[in-house]
Amino acid sequence: MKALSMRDVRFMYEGSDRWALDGISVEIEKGEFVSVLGSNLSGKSTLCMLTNGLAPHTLKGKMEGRVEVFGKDTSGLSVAELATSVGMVFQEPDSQLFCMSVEEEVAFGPENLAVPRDEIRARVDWALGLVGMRGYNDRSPFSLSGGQKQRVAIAAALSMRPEMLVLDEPAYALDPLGRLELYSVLRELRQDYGMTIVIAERDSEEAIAFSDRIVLMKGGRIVDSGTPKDFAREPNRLRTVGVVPTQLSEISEMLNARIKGGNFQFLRVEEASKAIIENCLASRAGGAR
Amino acid sequence: MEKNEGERRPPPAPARFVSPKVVALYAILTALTTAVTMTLVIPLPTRGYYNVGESMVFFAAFTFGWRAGMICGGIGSAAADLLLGYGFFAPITLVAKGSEGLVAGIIGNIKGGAPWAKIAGIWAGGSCMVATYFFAEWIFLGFGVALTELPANVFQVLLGGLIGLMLSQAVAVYRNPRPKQA
Amino acid sequence: MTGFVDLFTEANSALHRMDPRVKIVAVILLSLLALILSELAYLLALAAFMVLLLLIGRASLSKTMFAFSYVFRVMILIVVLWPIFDPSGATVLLELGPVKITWEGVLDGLGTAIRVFCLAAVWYILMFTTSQRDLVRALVKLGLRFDFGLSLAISLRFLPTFGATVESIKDAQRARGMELDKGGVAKRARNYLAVLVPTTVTALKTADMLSLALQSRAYGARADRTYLRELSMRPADYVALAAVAVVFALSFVGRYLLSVPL
Repeated sequence: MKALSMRDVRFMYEGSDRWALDGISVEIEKGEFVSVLGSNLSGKSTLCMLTNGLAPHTLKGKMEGRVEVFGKDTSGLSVAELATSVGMVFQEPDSQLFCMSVEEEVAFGPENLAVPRDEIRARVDWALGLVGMRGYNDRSPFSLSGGQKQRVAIAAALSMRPEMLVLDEPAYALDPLGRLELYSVLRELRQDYGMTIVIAERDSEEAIAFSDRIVLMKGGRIVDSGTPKDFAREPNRLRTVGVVPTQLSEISEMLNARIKGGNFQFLRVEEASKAIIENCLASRAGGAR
Repeated sequence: MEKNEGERRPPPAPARFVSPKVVALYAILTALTTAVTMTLVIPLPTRGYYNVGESMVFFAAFTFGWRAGMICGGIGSAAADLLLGYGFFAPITLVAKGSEGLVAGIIGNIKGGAPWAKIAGIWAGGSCMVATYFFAEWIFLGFGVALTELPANVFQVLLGGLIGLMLSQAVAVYRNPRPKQA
Repeated sequence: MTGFVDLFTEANSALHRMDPRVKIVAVILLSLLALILSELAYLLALAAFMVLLLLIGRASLSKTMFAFSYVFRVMILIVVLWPIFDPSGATVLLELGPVKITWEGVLDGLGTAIRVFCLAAVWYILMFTTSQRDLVRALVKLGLRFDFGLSLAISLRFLPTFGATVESIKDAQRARGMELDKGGVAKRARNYLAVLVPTTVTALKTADMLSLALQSRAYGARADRTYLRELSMRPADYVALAAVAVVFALSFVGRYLLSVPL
């Protein structure tokens, strides 16, 4: 059984005359960390909304094909029922936190599912601890930083004990530190709990560092896919869909262009800095000679 | 951690709540009304100040109907009273602004919300608000105070109504960028 | 009188610890009590009790002054204007053409002003001793439907966000040299529109997102929803509730059934 399986899925929003998704087939294994990369209007957001039934149940439109989440067809399930399978985190930190305290925020899902009180208490503590927000129970979400808000949003999804987490550009509004905190939480979730993670992004930096597989989207279709290593080696594959390659692969390219016979493919900062230092020293030594 | 057993069975009965769309929209309209009432205030010699919170009551009524106008206008304005420290006025405000939103929403949406209907809505709804405040103040604060407050309330309706009208037109353009062809 | 002053003042007073349901019921009863009483002496006693409650609740001076600035102005207006418009009394103090000031009119004006103080104080006490979270929770426990209470809670949560949005757009417009309060009605309306259109459009987008978030978090999944936190009445809460109820009942019976002048 796959965590997520889409077969020939097409989706057109009501009032639009363009397929937002135009024939998507994709399978995601349990415990996999998949990044979906693409620019605006590539359809990656729509893909996310299909996983928990928001499309087509709430976001109305014309849909073809079949979406299965852990073997269940989403067309027969409500968004509320799917919430225990798929936890969803959105782009805007401010419009997905709506309670007056962090604790209420995280308890909201299990309360709706009629989970007993002691169990909710345990889940709130567990989820807040996991995202590193323990002790913030009584703070207002309004007073938190962007990164903290997104981690609370993750905790609020986790407290419903989903098996898969789907995140639609969660790091968009975050600074580099916030992004790092967010991705560290996701990595821990996958390693310690075998959580399946699907994340839509327009940036390749963290996708290459953290994910198992990268899927590229453009114009509502999946145009390319591969491992992070593949895309680190061939950054042009990212550029074709309007995604900026990582800084490391850009450094590799620059060095390769300047140094005769250079064939660098940095995957780690240490490798890159070592190569730069060595080559600078070498060229300076060469100049002196 | 194990899943709770009750959760695994199919839910016995989904709650009969109002739709999440309505919960979200009404919450946001109420917050907007309160925020505008509390932030956009202008000092006046007689009453001390007046605010353009009125405009959000009319906006909600014209754009989302009488129910939104009544609930969001009434509760949003009453909440502003409570939060500014004159909560004793909140019940009166609830009636004054609630009736204003209700009446403006009903009259303002006649014939699909033609401009004359909206202007009639501002007049009728505004009259409800001005009259409610006038009589309530007469009873609780005396005729003299009710009289001094009257001009400020009338001015507030005129300015708020005009802004609410223009706002509902402007936002309608944003919500339906392509006008429907006849 | 702009900006956002959160009246709620954190403290560990007896009033802060009181069950919010008791506070809401007490505020309603005490408001009605203030309306029932008409003798100056009793109104003054009630006002003194309010001042005592302000002290027990450890009201902050600056917030109290903020909340009462408008109330004091209204009180002065009442004291000045009431006698002018109420010539019904017998003891004439002053007669100037059509205006007749009577001793009874002056007393009535004073009484009304003190009643307004009592009303303002009792609601202010509720607001400064009770967090918004507890207020909404209490309303739901007092019978407000959960979905309505949720909508109210969400609106209170977004209030500072929108307040900040309005302020920042206002500042931006001001930086471009736009004065909000200049010109005639039409000019002013257009000035405000420049602030309100972006605010409203942003807010409506937020509403759309919010409805998606609510559903993703299983809103309305089951009718038998549970609650993490419950309110619980302590003995002191029952005592307070009983005391207020008794005083109110005595006054009510005394005034309307036994016709005692109160």
